[in-house]
Formats: sequence, structure tokens, C-alpha cells
Amino acid sequence: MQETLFTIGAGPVDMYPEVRAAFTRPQPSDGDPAFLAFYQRVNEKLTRVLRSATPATILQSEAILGIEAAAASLIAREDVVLNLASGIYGKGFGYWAARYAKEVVEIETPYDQTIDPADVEAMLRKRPEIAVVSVVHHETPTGIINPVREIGAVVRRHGALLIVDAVSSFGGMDVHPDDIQSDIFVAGPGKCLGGAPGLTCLAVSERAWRKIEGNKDAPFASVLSIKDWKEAHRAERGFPFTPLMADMQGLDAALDRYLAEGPENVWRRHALTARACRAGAKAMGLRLWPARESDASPTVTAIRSPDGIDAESVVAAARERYGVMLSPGVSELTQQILRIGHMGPTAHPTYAMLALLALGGALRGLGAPIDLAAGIDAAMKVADSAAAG
Amino acid sequence: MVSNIAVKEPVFTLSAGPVAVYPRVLRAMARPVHYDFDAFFQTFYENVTHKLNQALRVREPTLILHGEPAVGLEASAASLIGRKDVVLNLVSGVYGKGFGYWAKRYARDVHEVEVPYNEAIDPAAVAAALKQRPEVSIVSAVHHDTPSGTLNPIRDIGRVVREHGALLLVDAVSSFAGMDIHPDDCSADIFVTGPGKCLGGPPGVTLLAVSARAWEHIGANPDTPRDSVLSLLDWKEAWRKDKPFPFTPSVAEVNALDAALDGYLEEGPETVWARHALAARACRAGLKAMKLPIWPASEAIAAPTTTAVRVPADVKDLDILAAARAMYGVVFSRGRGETLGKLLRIGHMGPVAEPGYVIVALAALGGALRHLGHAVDVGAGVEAAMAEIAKSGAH
Repeated sequence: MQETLFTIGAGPVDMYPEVRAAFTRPQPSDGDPAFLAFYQRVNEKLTRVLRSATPATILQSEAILGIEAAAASLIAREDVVLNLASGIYGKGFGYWAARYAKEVVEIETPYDQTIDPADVEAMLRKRPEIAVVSVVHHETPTGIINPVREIGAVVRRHGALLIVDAVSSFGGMDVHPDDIQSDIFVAGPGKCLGGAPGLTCLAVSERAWRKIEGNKDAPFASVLSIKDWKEAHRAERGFPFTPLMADMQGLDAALDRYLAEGPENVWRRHALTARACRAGAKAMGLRLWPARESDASPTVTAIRSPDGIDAESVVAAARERYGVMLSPGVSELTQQILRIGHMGPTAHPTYAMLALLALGGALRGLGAPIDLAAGIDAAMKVADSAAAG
Repeated sequence: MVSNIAVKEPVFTLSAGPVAVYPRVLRAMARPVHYDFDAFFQTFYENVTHKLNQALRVREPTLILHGEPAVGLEASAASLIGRKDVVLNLVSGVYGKGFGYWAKRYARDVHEVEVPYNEAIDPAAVAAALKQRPEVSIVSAVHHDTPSGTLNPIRDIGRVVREHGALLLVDAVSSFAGMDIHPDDCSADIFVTGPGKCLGGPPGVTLLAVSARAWEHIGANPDTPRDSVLSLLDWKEAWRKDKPFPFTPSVAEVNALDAALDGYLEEGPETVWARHALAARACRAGLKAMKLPIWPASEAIAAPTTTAVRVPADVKDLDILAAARAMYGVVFSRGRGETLGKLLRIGHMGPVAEPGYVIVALAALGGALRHLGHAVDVGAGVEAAMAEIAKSGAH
């Protein structure tokens, strides 16, 4: 099987070169003082990158672990949870919440739209007993961003705790746990930080820690326990189980890279790439998936697959002809959506143009009328305007 | 602010794992991260699973779980043990004892056969316990209880359990690939291991062999987790290149596993085991000549992958560790739980399972003890280890 030349999907994406290099550092023993001190430093760096008032918590598996662990740790059997579902990931979280909660109520929107904070407010007024609200910031399967700041303000006024899945937005745009008043904020190194999937990065508020500590069903001595890792970042403490040294070294390098480039510059690069991509896709004659372009994510551009063409065939053709790996949709939307990622190293307009070329060429090969030249020209104009400005 | 605590890096990590990683494995971690739905990665993943089947010498497809083996052990308990099950947990050390707490979460009842933590489980005691409690449906055992550096006679235990008909769950995390042990050798129904010990890889994934009987039991267990990091079933078919992953696998860790398996299969398992055994033998010979008793009650049950040595009464384990690290740049492991403070552990795993590292370990341990006022004959220790190495002929 021919190796893919360019991975420009919705994540995981390839690592920055300095992150790759960090993965090859020698691996110490987890009990060694040098590693304990290193772990504490990485945790402090992560706390700074998250701009969090409480120390960050790192869990030792891919970010989906953090989401399941958040549900298991925070939600108690007497809790009523309000789950906000504007996409496949939001809908999925509801099933986990239902495992632990007394009741899960849901606000669901069509999957090309976002959650309206006014609806959240109305629901909280109607069901004042709601103790936990959960929301996905960036619905990766559909490339849609929820107004999580406004939702956070509404939830905080009501007094419930807020779980935010920011796995595929954090590091690619201006979103931080304290800004949006989240109580558990879940992110990971494998998307916009340009690292590898393998860890979960959590910010847990004081309020959430109190709730977890008072929850008699919260897991402990378990991979699903957040509590087990609360103090693990202190160099004088040990770890509940062996942390992933290589992934920690990769995370360290990814954080260094993010801070050295400057968060604002990184976000600008993501936003510009997405803008160029959207302009190009539209000029080629394609329709964006989000109903309103203002809801479109800066880290993933989701495009409607033209009528009669399966997204998976397009992805396969782009890979075969051009060595470019794009993402189809997810679950019931697999065949309807084509996704181009702008994350970490691929958040650069040149990657967006390459992705559009491969996408347009593949679609044309499958019989769709595509104006490739107009698409590239439009994307180029956005990229050049930024370069000139 | 990021604190400026910095500690000098060690020169030799000779701990009981995670251990130093082979250079080719480190290089593999720098391979590109591919999209997990990419046909290239899916094919690659299937090939890694085939290699793993070959290394584990099983026909049933193996499973890779994307968390450290502690995750795999907890997931095995959660997936296999149902509320109707009666578990017999075999305890000869801290890890065996720990598994019992997980078993209790899921089982109707847990019974234990427990021996002092410097001894091994007697298969006759297992047979007697099974006779006394015919309702036992699952037996759990740790092959190498790393915190004690002791081996259990897992082949014989496996035979006894199979005769009785119960399912056997074996923790072989720190023995597999360092000695001749495979799931079928010990009639294991779930065999849990990982790349972070004797395979000389990073610790980030769990490697599992699950028998057809165990899959049946899991399938019939109404409490078995689904859509969870604790689920084995979610991953049952994930190795097939045409099946999706339940969630994003740890791509860099899989790249590393691939290289670790290549190294193991190319060097030849028998050669790798011989290297581990020789390192441990030389280490024990050196300790004996230095008049430092090993922790295991007999040499016969001492692991070839970790040598546990008793801490002399006149010194503290932490002082020895600190001196060995500061003076020689050498890192050992302490005990754990019950064995904490009572022993120190020298690892012989993966790249450090070489006689040369044993000389380094003995010299550093002896030098540290001497520095702390405990007289040892370092020269005699090194000579004895050298003699043991010479006996094995050209290496």
C-alpha cells in the first residue's frame, strides 16, 4: 500500500517536526526524579497554555478517554444533565451521560446548525434542577462551532456545571476554560497543537473538583478516574500508573512550539487557512455544510458532497490520484460530507490549496462539474491578501 | 509560570520498567502520524496485529488497547468478570493483590490463595482451592509480580485451571518477551502484556490475547462494557483493515510497537530470552559474591527480567538510590506497596538485558552501599558476574 503523501484530514494530523523529534528522546523511568520534575514542568506549561486558574490534569490515553472520564467522574446518580446536541459527538455524549445521570434532557438542532444560547437559558429556567450541562465546542464531524462563551455565561448564571469538549478547537482558536466558564474542559495534543493522539489535557475547575470529590460514584483506582491524577503533576508525588513518556515529551514540544509562535499567530493561521479553503470551495461550485458560514470552524472545513456522489469515493480518489488524505463524514453523515482539516502544521493556506486541488480533481474524475481554476484563484486571493496585509 | 526545577538526566536507566527503548523504536516514533481512516494506516495496523500474533504465537487475532497495560488489566476485569462469576485470585505480590480489588468490583465473590510476597503460588494449593470451591469460574494470576521479582509456575497453574474448567487471566506484562511464555503455554484465556518492558518499547498500549472461550464468556456477560475505554469487545474486530476503530488509536505508539516487534522477531525470541536469563544469572551471582541476599525465597523463582535485592538493615533504600544516581548516573527501582523499603530492583528488560549493564548495576549498587558505610566487596561481585558471563561462551 502506497503511503499517503499529505494528510489533510480532520485529525489526527501529522506532527510538527519538533514534536516528531521529541518523540525520539531517550525514555527515562517514571519514578526517576528527572522525569518527575519534567512532568511537573510540562503540566505547568500546559496550565499556562490553557490559561487556567487551576493546574491542568493530564490523562494517559486519547482525548476520548477524558470525555468518558468526565462523564463518569462528574455526573452523579441524582443529577439531571442537559446535553446540547448539534452534531454526532454531542449526541454521543448524551449516551455516556445517561449511564451515570438520573435523567438526561437534550436540546438538539439539525446538524448543520448551532445551539442557541437562548434555548439553553429557556431550558434551564424550565428545569431548574439541571446540575450539569454538556456541550461540544467544535463538532468535528460537521465542522461547526457552538457559541460556547455565551452558553457558558448562561450556565454559570444558572449555577450548573459545564463540561466542554474542545478537543478539535483548542489550540486552533481563542478558546480557554476560564474564558468560557467551563468546569471540565477537554482537549488533547493530537489536533491543533500538532502533536500525536495519546493523551487527554483537562482543565477542571475548583467547583468541579468539589463535585467530583463529593460524588460517591466517581471512579477511583481506574482509568476512568480523574481524581486519581489530581496531584500527579507534583514532582514529589508518584503516578497512579505509568504515564506515557514519549507522548509527554511530544506534548512538551508541541506546547513549546505553540508558545514560541504565539497563540494569537497560531489562531490567525488557522482562521486564514479556513477562510481561503471556504472561498476556494465555494468558487469551485461546492456548498459548505454549515447552514451559516459564520458557524464554520477555523480548524475543519466541511463541504457537502455533490448529489449522487459518495464522499468515501471522493476521498479514495483523492488519495489514489494525488496522495492526499481528506476525511469523509462520520456515522450517518459519512457519505454526505467531505472534510479538510486545518490543524497544527496543516493550518497553512498552501495546504488548503493542495487539498482543494485534490478534492476538485477527484470530484471531476467522478463526473461533478468543478471549476478548479476559479477555486484555486479564490483561495489564493485570500492567502495573498493576508500576506500583503 | 513554569518552575525551573531541573534534575540532571540519568545515564543508565536500569529500573524494573518502563525501561530504555531500543534506538530503532525511538526512530519509529518519529514516523508520520497518518489519519486513522487512511487505508495505509489501516493496512499497517492489520500487519502490526499479524506480527503480534506471531510474537504471541496465537492463532486467534490479538487485541491492541490504547492505554498502558494497567488499562488493559482493568478492562479485562471489567469485560470478563460478570456479576455471577466467582473469582479465585492468586496473590504472591503487590500486583496480584491489586487485581483482587478490581475483581471484587465485578464478581459475585472473590476468594484468594495468598503466599508471602517473596514466595510463589503452589499449583497444588490452586488445585485444592478449586476442589473446595467448584463454583470458581475465573482464576487470575500474575506471572511475574514485578514488585517482588518473583515468578509463579504459570504453566502448571494453567494446567490445573484448565482441568477444572475455569477461565484463566494472566498478567504477563513484565515477563512476556523476556522469557519463554506465551498464552497457549499456560492455557491463558486472557493474556495481558505490553511493549514497555521486555519488548523495549514505550509503555503506551496494552497487548491482549483472548481465547475463543473468553470471547464467549465476554459476549454472554450482560455487564461487559461497550463504548468505553474499558471495553474489549469494542476492539475485537478493529485489527481488520476494513473495520473502523472505536476511537483514534495512539498512532505513534503503534509505530513504535511495530519496530519493537520487528526487533524481537529479527533477533529471534530464543536469543532475546537467553540474553535476559544470562543478565539475571550474572546479576544474582554478583550479588551473592557481594553478600547481598536476593528477595525471592529461592533462586528458582527469581525472574529473569528483574532482580530484587534485599535492602541491608543498616541503610535506607532511598539513600542507596540517590547515591547510585548521583555518583554513577544509574537508576534502579524501589519496592512497591508491601515491598517498599525492603528491596531494590535491577531491571533486565529489552535493551538493558545485556550482561554489560549488569556490571554497571553491580558496580553502582556496591559503590553506593560503600559510600553509605555498608561494606561490600564490589570487586568480588563484578568478578562473579564476569565468570557467569564467561560460562555462557561467546555472546
